[in-house]
Amino acid sequence: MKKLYVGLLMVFAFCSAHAETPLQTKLSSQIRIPVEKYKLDNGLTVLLHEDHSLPIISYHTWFRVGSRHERPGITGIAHMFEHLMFKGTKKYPNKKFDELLQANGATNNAFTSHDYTGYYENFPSDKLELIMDIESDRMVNLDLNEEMLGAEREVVKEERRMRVDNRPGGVLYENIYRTVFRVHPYRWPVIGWMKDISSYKLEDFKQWYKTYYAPSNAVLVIAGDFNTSNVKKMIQKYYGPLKAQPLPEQKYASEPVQSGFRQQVVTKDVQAPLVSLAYRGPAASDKDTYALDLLGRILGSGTSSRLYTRLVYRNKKATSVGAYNASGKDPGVFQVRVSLKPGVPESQIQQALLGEIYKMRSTRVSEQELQKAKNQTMLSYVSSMKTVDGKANILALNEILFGDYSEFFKDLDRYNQVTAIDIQEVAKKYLTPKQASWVVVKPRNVSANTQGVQQ
Amino acid sequence: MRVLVKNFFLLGGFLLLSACASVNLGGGSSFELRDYKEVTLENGLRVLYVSDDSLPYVSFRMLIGSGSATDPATQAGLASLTSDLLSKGTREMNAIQISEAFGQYGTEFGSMVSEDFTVLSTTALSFHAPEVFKLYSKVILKPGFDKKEIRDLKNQYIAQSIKRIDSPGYFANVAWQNYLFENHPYAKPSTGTKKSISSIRKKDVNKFYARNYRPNNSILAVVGKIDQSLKKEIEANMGQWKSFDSKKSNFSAFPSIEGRKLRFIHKNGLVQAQIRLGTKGIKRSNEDFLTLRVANTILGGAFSSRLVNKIRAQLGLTYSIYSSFDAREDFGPFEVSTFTKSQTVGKTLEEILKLLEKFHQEGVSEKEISSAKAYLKGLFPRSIETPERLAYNLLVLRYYGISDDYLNDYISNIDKIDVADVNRVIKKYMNPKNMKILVYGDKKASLKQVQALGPVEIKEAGDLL
Repeated sequence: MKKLYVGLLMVFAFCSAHAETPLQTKLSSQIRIPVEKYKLDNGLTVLLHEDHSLPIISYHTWFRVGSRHERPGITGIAHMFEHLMFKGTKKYPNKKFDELLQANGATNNAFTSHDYTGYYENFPSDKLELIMDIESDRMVNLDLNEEMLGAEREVVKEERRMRVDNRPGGVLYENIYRTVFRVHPYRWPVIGWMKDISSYKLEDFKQWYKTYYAPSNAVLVIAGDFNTSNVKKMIQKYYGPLKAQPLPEQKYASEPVQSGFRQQVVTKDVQAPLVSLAYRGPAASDKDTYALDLLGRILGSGTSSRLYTRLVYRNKKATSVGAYNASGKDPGVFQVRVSLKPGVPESQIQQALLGEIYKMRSTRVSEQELQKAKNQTMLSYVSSMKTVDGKANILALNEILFGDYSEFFKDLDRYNQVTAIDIQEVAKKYLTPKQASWVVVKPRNVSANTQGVQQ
Repeated sequence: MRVLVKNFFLLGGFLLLSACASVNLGGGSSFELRDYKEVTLENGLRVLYVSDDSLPYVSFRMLIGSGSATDPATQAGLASLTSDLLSKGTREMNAIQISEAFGQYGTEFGSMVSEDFTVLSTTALSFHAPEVFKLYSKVILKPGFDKKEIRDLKNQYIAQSIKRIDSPGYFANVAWQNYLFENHPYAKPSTGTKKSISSIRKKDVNKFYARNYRPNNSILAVVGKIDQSLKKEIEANMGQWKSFDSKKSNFSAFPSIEGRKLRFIHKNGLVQAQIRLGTKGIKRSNEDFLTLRVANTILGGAFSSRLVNKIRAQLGLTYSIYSSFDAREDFGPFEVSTFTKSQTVGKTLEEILKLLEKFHQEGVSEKEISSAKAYLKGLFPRSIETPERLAYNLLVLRYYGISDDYLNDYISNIDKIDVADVNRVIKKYMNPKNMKILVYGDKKASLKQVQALGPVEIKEAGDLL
């Protein structure tokens, strides 16, 4: 889906409503918030949203670097580097960093995706200058040394085991991407392959930092309780002296058009199969995302969606379903996922899913379904704006993906304009039999526990 | 993501609240708590209104004062099943029609069952609020409890209970509650077991509903753009709901723990083991609630806590570790939760126990306390940042019978806590001598390491379904 929320790997979101009525036009203006945007001489992009409702500030620093900038052999380095950003500088050495934030009532975290790496803090508004000092310092003065690598490498491996190796859903996810992409960097997981995590060198991290961490490659978003003109002076003081740094020219292997149905089956000690039907989708900036996002909602969002009513409610073959379009800087993945009941073989579900996709290509969705998907989208856009952290997050994400934060505010109107014909057109364009990938994580053997559950 | 943290805002324990009082945050900043109104209808239903015109939405959230602890001993899952059946049919609409009706407004009907209470919620764009409220109230007040729907949902629950095995963290949480609480009502999984779900009949659902879904056992919070006509509609509609007095049975005693007890649950193929350890914690009404919050922040409640520093940052044994007091109507657990690769289970347990021992013996420093206090005060405004968070806190405080002064005085009460207080509660509540330890992993790789700590009771994952 489009430009709403950020997870480790991607961005979910949705949106809008049908023929333009006054109510919905009003909605798109009601979620618009005032933002001041400018650039420092060194290239740092700054977005400020002043809001005095509560004495708190949300502070986001996002870099235009993610796993897509990696190469085989160092997959996952963008993510492990993100961990090292908390290890300290000369001014704020190891441990001091987290201790200092805690002692000032701040919470902080970070995330890495295919396309970007983001860091954020939420804190009482009188701590702004301290946080700015810390953030501007670690943008260029990170103290990278051999000693910090050992334990953190183990932490990242535990993170990979937790997210992927010990979790069937994670295994499915990883296999979807490596099946849909053969050459593009989206092929490898953001967290990286285990053997690569084991072998990064200190020099790799130093090179990564030097190449991608510079004001010219970053977006700074501050939202909350501050005075804009004071903060602009403060930003100049702390970030002004940092040097711009040109990025190396980077060419990405572009993914060739898929020429036939692909299949990937993994066997694990699981209780029931997880399956996915996946297709390469458009990039986030492509206008086709609006129709494809809504198509995903009609198929798999909520208990009245087509897949839920058919597979969970009527046929009783599945415990949960989902369908969504995950798009990034480059063309992403549209996927349908189904978690089957114990004892139901995956072969029983393939025809049903292909049939639902066929219906999307051959028949127009009803006006009622379309309106429902648009209403879901509107509600999710409204929900994403409820906190200052949510607002800062959305501004940063849209600025990073599109070079213009205000794209977000135009989305509702664009979703609104999507017709049933548009949806059929994107289904014909992207969801074709030749471009499909069938990915399965299935049980090694039928366990005794599954007896007697089948209908 | 760099760290997994428990969601502080949804913990029954982290609550703050009040009407329009000025709260001083220290450092010169203060703010007004958002205004809210409370009405009690003749049938005993309390209705809270929290107005918010900043965005075009309205949300409805009802707390029913009965949760999984109310399930009859042999019918674990009844509270949860009942709440999920509400949207599977009213007297006039079937399940598909209900989903479609909510879906048409872009929304869903949601239910959540905890040990102590049930929460029923929905959200709508403000221009759909009257229609969505009508549906919401119909689903809660006029459920159909159709036989076929009950049978289908039971099958769904049974399938899900089997699949729980594949989510190691979730499975370990369920198994841990079961181990810690034994025969206490908190021991049962809120979604039941194969056996308990199979035994539930339509008459059980009817009876549970009739006893517990009553206005005098409920509180409704309405948040967002609320106009007078919506208020009138809510009060007229909900006013027809009939009250009924039913007595809650008392909790049985918390099972005693003498010394250290160990349980290992085996599943083939796990490369990482889930670890839980802990003991009896506190009730929500406990006077030491806030002081323990400060103590726990230092031990394992924040990113620079002792457990995270040692087990994650220094030793690289895990990606996530935390400790918590889950304070409930009756005694909840005090626990430590983490995971590590199969090869380092023994080492991780050893280090945690060493750390807990030292924490209990030596207590904490002035510096640690002032940092923990600042952290908790810094979190406070965000725990009530949105009107929905404020409303949720108000609901839960009312359920536990705690005054809204808890919110008004939150900052000043945190300020009053000193070293002696914290060290006193550490001595009293955080003794690692009498503890249970649970490991969920692959026994081929990890069992011996656990056995080094004492005799271990071994179970198969399938035994716990």
